[in-house]
Amino acid sequence: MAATQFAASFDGEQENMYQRDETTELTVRNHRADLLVEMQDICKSFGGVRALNNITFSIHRGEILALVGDNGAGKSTLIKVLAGALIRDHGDMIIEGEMVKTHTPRSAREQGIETVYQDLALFDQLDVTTNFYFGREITTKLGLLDKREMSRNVKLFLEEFGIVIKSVSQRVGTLSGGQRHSIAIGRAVYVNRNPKLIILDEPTAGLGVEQSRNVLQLIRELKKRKLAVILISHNMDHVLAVSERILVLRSGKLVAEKRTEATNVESLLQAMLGKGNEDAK
Amino acid sequence: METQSTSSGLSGPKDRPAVLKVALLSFFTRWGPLVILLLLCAVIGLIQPRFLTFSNIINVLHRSATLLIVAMGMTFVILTAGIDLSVGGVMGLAGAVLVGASRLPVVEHFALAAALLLGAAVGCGNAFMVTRFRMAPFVVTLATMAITRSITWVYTGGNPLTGVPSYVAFLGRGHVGPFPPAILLALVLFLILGVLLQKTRFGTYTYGIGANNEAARRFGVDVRRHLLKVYALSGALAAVAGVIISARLNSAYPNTGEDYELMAIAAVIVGGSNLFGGEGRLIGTLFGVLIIEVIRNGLNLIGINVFWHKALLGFIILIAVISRTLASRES
Repeated sequence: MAATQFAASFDGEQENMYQRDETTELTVRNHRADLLVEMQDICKSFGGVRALNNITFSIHRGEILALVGDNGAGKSTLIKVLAGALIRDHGDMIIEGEMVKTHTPRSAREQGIETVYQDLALFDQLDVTTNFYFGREITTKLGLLDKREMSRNVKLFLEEFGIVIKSVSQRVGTLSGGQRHSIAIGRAVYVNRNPKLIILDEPTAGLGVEQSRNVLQLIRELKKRKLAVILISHNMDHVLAVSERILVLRSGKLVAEKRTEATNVESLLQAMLGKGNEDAK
Repeated sequence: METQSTSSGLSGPKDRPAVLKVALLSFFTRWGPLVILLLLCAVIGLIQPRFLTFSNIINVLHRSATLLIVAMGMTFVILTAGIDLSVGGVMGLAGAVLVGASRLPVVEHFALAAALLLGAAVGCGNAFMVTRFRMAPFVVTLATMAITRSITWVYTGGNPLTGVPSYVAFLGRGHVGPFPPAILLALVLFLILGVLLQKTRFGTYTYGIGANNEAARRFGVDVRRHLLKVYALSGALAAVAGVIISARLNSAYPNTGEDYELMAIAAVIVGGSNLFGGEGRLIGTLFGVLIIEVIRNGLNLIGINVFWHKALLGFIILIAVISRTLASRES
């Protein structure tokens, strides 16, 4: 879809495929200057199964956008397309105003998009510093690891983000669940020289109340630093606590887009499950 | 904002016994092999003072050298969550190739290189099968062990082949001061490989692949290529050990390297490495090797049936694995 058609949809002249409330329209229009990523008519199929069906949305700098939906709604597929892990069958992807033709995990990282998957991709037997720098180690002129420099940098970073652990030489496997999630998120921000968008897949899964609170606070810290966050979560309370805008997927379609402050759990569940008057054409 | 919680949920005086338990278990996992080694030396030395003589210590170190070289290669493989059962077979075949090649004109000058390349090539073959066809390393290297052993027996006709090249003979029967060259070679390799493992990206990726193969791949490590290098290293080191033994005997015996795969694995496990990958140190492997050779030597000197050696080693392996399991569970 051309950029003009996309722009027209914001003026309400074009029939929307999904419901977007008035406050969301106004907010999106005002934030065009901060537009980071636009996904237009994204489609993805696996054999005969249409996992994504003409998904269109955008995200802005410093925005926390939540992606909700039942199992099989297409959330993971959508973020994998965004992260370059999957190739879209159809649709346009525009990052900072530039159309993206080929998108791979490497090009996504180069464009400042980092993903923290649910499994966290941590090395439990290795220490925090090694986890942070894995794949991007600092070496001396002789080609040996500069562990002192790496440890120092990691300590400073953790202090800046308020992530408290006993020692950066501590094995990640000995950390609590909340600390592990924080390390995984911190690493995603840290290792990218120019992070712009962090995608978090179930960042509070399996965590207790306090640990979840800490992770959510860390997500707010990301926003303070003008990083955009896309958050996938089944926990509606967490979604409502931290996000500003919520996209609801159902059966591969984007069925609702809501301002967090103007919605509630019941409304989101109705949209997810297709009850009430939420269905789009 | 602080994201903080104690890693084990322990705090306060009531939890001190548990904290102490974890600390002790962790200490034993890390330094237990050294403690066991020192205890063994003390006990055997008390029973048989000849054990602690300089000449006997050199004898133990000399025997340890070849096992250490093989075990260091095995350490790298086990760290990646793999295993290499072909090292014994490679040792035998390398010795046979060394002697066989030295009998051919022109090629004789490259006999040593041929033996080492053969070891590396077998290792590459193992890695190829493991990564390309996603076969279990145990199965692949078990097959390679059988193949290399069989080729050696057929090539040698079941008899020793005599006559290692002169430039290699020194390695087996020479001396540098009071030390056989094999000890010095093992020491040099230990230092080089220690730096490689602890201080380079290669070492980090070796640990990382064993700790989380998928994550390593996501962070840009070419896992397939890395495993090729690790298994090639193991094969090459096994070939070095085979060359040393052949040089010592001035002959390539078809059964050279028999049981070495099990001894090497035992040394790595006793030394504290995790059989499932991601954890371990070469210094631990060194302790493991010395424990094995001290037991063998000690039992011989004391006059106990040397066949009890494997039973005693088996007990030590069990203790090592149990302490590691308990330490992991507690922490």
